[in-house]
Amino acid sequence: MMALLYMLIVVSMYLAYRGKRKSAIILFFITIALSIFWFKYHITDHLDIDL
Amino acid sequence: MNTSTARTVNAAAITGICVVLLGAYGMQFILHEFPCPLCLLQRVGMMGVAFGAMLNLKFGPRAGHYGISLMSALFGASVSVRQILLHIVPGTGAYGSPILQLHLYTWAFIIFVITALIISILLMFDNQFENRADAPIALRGYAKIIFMVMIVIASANIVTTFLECGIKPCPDNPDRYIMLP
Repeated sequence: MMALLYMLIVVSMYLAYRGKRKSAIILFFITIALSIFWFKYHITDHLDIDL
Repeated sequence: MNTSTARTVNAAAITGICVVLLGAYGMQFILHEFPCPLCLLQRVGMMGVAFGAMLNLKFGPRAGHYGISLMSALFGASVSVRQILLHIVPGTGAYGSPILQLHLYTWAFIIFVITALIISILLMFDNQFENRADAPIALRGYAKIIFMVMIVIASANIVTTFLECGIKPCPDNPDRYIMLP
């Protein structure tokens, strides 16, 4: 669920805005980890693009 | 470069990322080109770069914040170069329309590399890290506006990506908004 990545980033940004630096950074690293998971999923999956 | 100048540069960087993300939205809504999964991950990379800059705005410049931006730029560059390699052989097609003869994923790769270069240069100015603020800095004026604009753009991506992909993995070659009738 790709929208979840954006949701986590928005929450990270909001936490940063509220001054909660540590929580924002932890959540951001979770986002990056999930992004790498999705990246791996999509690069090992067959891309149905007209090549 | 003092702390104030560094914060101004970071605000400018967030502005640049906002312009890039709005440009991507322009392609999506004006040219009706749906972002592919790799395109969406490149947007995540862009937002990660902006997130590091936002931390610099809110908490003052720190090497760790630049590290977050740099890591995001590397992630985004990895995704975009993978997409470039998909289409690198002549005659194997491309994804989306070119802008100034380059496709968006190629532009994204260039932007990520330039971002990494700029961060490397910014990290050379040690005096920006002096007088580190212990408490978060109250955002005012343009810094507050661009911080909010970035959050709004990222929030819009939640909605548009959910409409395009739903709760399942995004289709490899999207041609409609799955969640819309």
